[in-house]
Amino acid sequence: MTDVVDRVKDILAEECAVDRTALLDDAKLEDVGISSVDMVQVMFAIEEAFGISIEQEDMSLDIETVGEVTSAIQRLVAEQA
Amino acid sequence: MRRVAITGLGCVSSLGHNVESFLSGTREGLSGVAKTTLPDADQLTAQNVAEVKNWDAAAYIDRKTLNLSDRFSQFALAAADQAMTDAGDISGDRTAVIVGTGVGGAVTIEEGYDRVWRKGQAKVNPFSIPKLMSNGPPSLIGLKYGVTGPAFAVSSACSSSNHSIGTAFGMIRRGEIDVAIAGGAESSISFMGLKGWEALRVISPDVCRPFSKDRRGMILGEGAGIVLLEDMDRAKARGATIYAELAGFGMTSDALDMIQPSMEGAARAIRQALNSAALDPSDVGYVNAHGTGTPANDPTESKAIRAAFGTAADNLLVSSTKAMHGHGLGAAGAMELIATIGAISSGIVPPTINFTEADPECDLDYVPNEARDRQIGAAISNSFAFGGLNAVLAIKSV
Repeated sequence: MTDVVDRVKDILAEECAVDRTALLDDAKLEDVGISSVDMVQVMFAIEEAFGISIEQEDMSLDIETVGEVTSAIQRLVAEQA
Repeated sequence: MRRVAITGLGCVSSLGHNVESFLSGTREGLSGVAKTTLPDADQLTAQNVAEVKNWDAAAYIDRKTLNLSDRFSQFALAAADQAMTDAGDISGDRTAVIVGTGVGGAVTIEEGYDRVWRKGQAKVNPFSIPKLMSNGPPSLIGLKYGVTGPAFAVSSACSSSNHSIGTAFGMIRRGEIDVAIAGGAESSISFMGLKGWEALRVISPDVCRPFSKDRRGMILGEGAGIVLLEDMDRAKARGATIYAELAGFGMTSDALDMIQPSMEGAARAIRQALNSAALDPSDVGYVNAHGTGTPANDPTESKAIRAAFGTAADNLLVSSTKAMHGHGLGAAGAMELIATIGAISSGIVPPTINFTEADPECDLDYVPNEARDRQIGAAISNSFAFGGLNAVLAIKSV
């Protein structure tokens, strides 16, 4: 599953044009320069990359950190595999 | 009333990604027309188009902005960057951004249909809506340059650019704003777009031959043209390069037919532009024609020019640069205004290429095939849109 974490971080860095090394698990999205609008594009890219479907309730508004994003995607990939 | 200076130029076209390639290409009579690169070209009757070639948007636009930009907005952003090179500080609410488009985000719409209806995918690009909206270019340009004054898109098919630039011109003239980023952008060379034009039977199977007796229709183009307009006193005070004075604007509606052009509607728009610029017909040396190369437009436009200019029409040079850069629809007027400015500033009038045979119905000097040296003091640029919407810009040398 670390593969999923790496790939999600790759997508975050690519789509949001942010430094990959700043994407520590406890880093807040807004602190590394990732906005909620950026996350819309990120979720689209993640859906394409993993062949999963992310519904609105899967990405709750209290997701604040990079680690929370990767955990949520890990869970969805496991569920939908 | 204030005078309006043109102090910045930007262009992306089938002849290249900047103003220099556009102006040198149109002077040299080069053609941007080639077989379309669309994947399903073999299902099209007419396959020749004037596409912007080897477009690498990432070379001009940052990743986040690119995610929100349809191809027509990408062209507009790149052209705006060029026009802004010498702009000084234009941020704030005394600047407007007015950019026209005929169709809007055609590529985004078609990609969405393709995903859902052909490929059976569940979701479309999450930014489909902001990408396809016609006000993408003015919003994205305003955001980039911190422009907080009036910003909107104008849509009037092939007259969109001239209506945009003419609107900005009037606002500066009346003192409502000091500076405007104005022009047009278009990218509707999509499979369905070409199918639609094909069905209308106005597309040439090979090349566009404006005013030539054997003309068979238009060639669809794409791209963007952006000009920086500025209160003349402001431009002079800051020592800006002034390419030309935007001196007049005329607009009329035929209220006659959605497709067929009207001689009278076009002639009225030309007369209005001349009056607005305080130009006598004999002052004008060059007309950049709408000149689509369709059977209907070219004789009607020729008669309109004769009606508006009277005997002065015999001394005019009239050319259609569309044969070289294609019909840019909503971008056409801005691209052609840049060609007209080029003619005034260089003393070289661009030709009408592919001209093979004179047509008795088209009896003006169309500068066939070779550019011509002529010092031009004033010129007009015509746009006559489907829907009967006519818009004419007049410029003077400075």
